[in-house]
Amino acid sequence: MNKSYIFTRLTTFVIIIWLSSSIIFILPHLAPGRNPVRERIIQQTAAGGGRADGIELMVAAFERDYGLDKPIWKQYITYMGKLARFDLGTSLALYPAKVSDLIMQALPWTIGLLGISTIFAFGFGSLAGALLAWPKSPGFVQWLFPPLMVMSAVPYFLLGIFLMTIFAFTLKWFPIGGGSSLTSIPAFNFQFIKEVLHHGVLPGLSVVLSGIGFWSLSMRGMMITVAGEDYVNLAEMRGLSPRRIFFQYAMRNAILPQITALALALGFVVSGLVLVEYVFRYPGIGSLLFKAIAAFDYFLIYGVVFVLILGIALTTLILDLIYPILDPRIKYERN
Amino acid sequence: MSQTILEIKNLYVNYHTRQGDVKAVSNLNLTLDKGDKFGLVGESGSGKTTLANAILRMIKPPGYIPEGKINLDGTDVLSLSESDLRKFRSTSVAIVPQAAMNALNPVRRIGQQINDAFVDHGVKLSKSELNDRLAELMLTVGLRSEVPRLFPHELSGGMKQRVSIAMAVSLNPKLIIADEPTSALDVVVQRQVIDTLDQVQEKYGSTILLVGHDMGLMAQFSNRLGIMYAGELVEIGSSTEIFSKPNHPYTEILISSLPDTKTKRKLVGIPGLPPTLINPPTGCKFHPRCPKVFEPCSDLVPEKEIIDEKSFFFCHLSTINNGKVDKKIVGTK
Repeated sequence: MNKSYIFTRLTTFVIIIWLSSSIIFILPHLAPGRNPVRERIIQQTAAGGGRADGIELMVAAFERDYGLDKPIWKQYITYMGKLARFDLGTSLALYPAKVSDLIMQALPWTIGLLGISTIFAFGFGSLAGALLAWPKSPGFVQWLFPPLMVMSAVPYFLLGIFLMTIFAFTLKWFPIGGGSSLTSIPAFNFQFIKEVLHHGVLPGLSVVLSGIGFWSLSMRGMMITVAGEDYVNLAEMRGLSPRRIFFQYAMRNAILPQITALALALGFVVSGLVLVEYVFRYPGIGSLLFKAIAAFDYFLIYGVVFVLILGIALTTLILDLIYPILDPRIKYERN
Repeated sequence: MSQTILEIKNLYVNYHTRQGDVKAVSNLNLTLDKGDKFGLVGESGSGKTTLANAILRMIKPPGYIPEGKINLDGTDVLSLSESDLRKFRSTSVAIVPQAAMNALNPVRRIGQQINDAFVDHGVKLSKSELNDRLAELMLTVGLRSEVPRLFPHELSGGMKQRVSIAMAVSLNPKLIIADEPTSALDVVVQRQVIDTLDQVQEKYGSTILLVGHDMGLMAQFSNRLGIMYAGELVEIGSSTEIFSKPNHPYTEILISSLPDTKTKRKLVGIPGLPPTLINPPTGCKFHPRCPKVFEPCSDLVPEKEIIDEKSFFFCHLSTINNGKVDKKIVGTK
């Protein structure tokens, strides 16, 4: 791969981040004639039964503090400058916690749980889908198809509730929720890691099981096409080993479009799976987003959306950079 | 007496369909000797590729072989176990495929793909031995020595076809089946590919079964010819004999339909279409299209007419007047 491509691609990455965060900035300003500060103060005054005398003064004071009295282009520059320093402002609902701190606390949980289970689901699902489409697979593999269909259709949070009922509520094998027990102190030791894993099994499993259905069905379609390709046929006519034909000739080619989908899925991971995390009271980004939406915490919502944009832009960047290794036909050279 | 490499006896291949079985190959007998360059000619759908696949035992459902025997250098192909069959391919019989454009794995280097066959057939080569082997193969098929390091998309169609020839000879098989290896190439490259096959045959002394429908190419390459029609071999003989004195009317029309570059004349085709093989015509399968059709053709299956040990044909014409037909009894369709 040549350096100029990497440079171009990195520039694109920065532009994507800049454009999308600009859109986030502009969207609220498109709602005409509304002043969030005044609305909030009036709301609170009314709720508190207080007098409306000083409202205009208060509004002006707050607007000065938040920089809302400045012209829009100045606000934009301040916003961008803060964003570049990953300063996402202060949470409204969990005042005075900073949005960036809240996200940094939640992010490892989400990435750990969803990242790992997405990769597991991808691996098992792709293998199952490939076997389903392979003419030489043993007959019993076909029995996997109906359950996989069902799993891809059942929403993951329902699967989560189902698993919770059986394994946490009835059998009591796993804790009913949370990322670790309330009493334990986060530390990098065996005890804590074991606890985290123990808590992660059920939410992870619900994501893996529903994910396997999805990945296997898409892989199956791809594999059916590849299994009929001339090079797979010739490999068999050349007497290559069935295992090699399956993995290196068929699956290796069928999985290429899957990897694009995986990169996007991993990008979305940072936004958390709201419902799974909510059902299991998991301290990840999904739970944070749920709280933020429930409390109209705009700054927190913007923060999570920004992290999501970062995640997707980053995974697609990585994908683009490694794709020539995965598929030698892709080359970034301009002559 | 030369050594027999391939012997096919009473081979039938059917494809199962809802309307009934398609008899793609029926009652086929063929013997190839060591060093033969045998050309198998016929229209599309006449069963050439099915026959080639049958020799490799690559007939897959809905296709099946109801009866017949294929013996390749002492091995009964149809009774091999799955694992023996796998080892048999490439070492005893190899194929140069029809569409070399897509015959190579797009994400694997040429050298790796050639080496896969070595590894999977228990040939252990060190890195330098492998490189020597690859270099030698490339030299044989007339490719540059860096080709093994390239990916398929970096090669032209003709180069890919040469790679597939190199793959076919890599384990020095007794028989190489070239299934229309030139069908997607232009005439210049066609010639090069055929020359390459020729050189390979000379170098390794392998037997080659060239499948195709280009009579000109066949005449240039093969020493023996077999003409297939509707799943049957209707005539076999040495190339020179067949071109100078075809015995079967179908062969005759095939040859006369070759364009002539010296005199300008209208191209002659074969009237009608190939018959459906679910319900093939009775008697001689060619009779509905045959310009020399006469009384017995529609009812009786023609007997095998033997010219010599290696030449025969199936046609009623020979029974009257030894092939010289009285014009009066010949009806035209």
